[in-house]
Amino acid sequence: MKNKELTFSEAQLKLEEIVSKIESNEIDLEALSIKLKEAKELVKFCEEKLRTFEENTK
Amino acid sequence: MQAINLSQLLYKIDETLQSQFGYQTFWIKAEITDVKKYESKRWCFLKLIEKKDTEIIAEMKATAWSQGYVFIEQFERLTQQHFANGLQIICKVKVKYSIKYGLSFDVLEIDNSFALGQIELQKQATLKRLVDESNGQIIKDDEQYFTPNKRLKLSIVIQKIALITAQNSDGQRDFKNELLNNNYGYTFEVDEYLCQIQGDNAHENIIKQFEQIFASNINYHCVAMVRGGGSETDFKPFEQYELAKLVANFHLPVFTGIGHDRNTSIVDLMARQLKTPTKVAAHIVEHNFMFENNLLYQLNQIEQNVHLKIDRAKQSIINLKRLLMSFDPNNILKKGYAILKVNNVIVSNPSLLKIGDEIETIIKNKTLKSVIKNINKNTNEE
Repeated sequence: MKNKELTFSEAQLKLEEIVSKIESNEIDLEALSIKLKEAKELVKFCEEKLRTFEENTK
Repeated sequence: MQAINLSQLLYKIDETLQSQFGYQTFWIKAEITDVKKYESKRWCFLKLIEKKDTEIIAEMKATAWSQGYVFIEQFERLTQQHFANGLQIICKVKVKYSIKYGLSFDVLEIDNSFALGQIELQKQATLKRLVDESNGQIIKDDEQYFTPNKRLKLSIVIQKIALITAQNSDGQRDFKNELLNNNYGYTFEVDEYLCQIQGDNAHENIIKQFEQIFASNINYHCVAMVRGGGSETDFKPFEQYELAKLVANFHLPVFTGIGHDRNTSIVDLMARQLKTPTKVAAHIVEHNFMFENNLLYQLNQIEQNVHLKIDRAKQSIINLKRLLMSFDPNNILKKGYAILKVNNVIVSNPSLLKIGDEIETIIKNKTLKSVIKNINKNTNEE
């Protein structure tokens, strides 16, 4: 699923899953950089969403 | 035949009456009728009568000059009613005879406590009748009257109003001024039902206006009945049974502002009493403001909740971002750690390393190539 189709909550959940996987050492260093890239995209997506929410509530 | 002049006989009558009554005064109880007041002169001409059933059995002309007129003014101030035909009074009189104007009484004093008592008795009787004849619809509880009209729920927003008032009266002006120039810019539709609301038959005019409102089939949110600027007295229409009964059962909420600050009329007790026209208008404006205020409060609550949620989400993303940064190998290398590779594969299991292996050591900004000369187990690990 592309990030564009995600909701904020889904993206946040995905991020939390990645973090918990990394924390539990389930990911080796090789896979880590791929996951990190994915996580960074998710963070960017979430931040953009939040900015839109804030603008809508002004 | 010897005749005497009319005046001679009348003087004899005068003398006889003088000798009999002189300056004596008497307290008498009577009903008043044919009341004619001359306010500028402070005189009042009236008749005192006594009835048996409906028949008048005694009658006497009377005059209250300025001495007695003081008590009439006091009566009107205390009762907020006109000193008018049909009242039962107790008054102190002096017999007066004039050969020109005949026999009459001078009214010197009026027992206003009796008059007040009579009016209060009449009021209580009317109220009791309203309760007794309402089939349980009008309930008295601790001096409060609960009527079908008072039980009607007010519309959340009041905008369409039927106004009963007198044309070109202060009440009409005050009400509309307060309502239509309100501080919040609320708009109202006011239909006026104009009639005389003072005078002996005023209640009939007012009842007609209520009937017209009913017949109009217009969905008014309320009726405002206001009166102001008129006589301090003349609240009699609002003590009248038929009008009070109609108001108590009217299908639209009725607000009264009949400029009656000191006392409360029977009609007031049957409706929502707000004393003055200005207060009725202010109450309606305030009622609408309460609605708007509640809306604004709710919107504010929603906004606060949304902001709170956004803040929490922001914080959560910041925390996750921080964690991710701490996992980033580049950041780890910056702290002095290194990554070992053998044959371009990251060494995650050190036990596979052997002496002589060519290894690649990646540190911050550098990659070193070396050969393992020796392998020692770290003493601080098991």
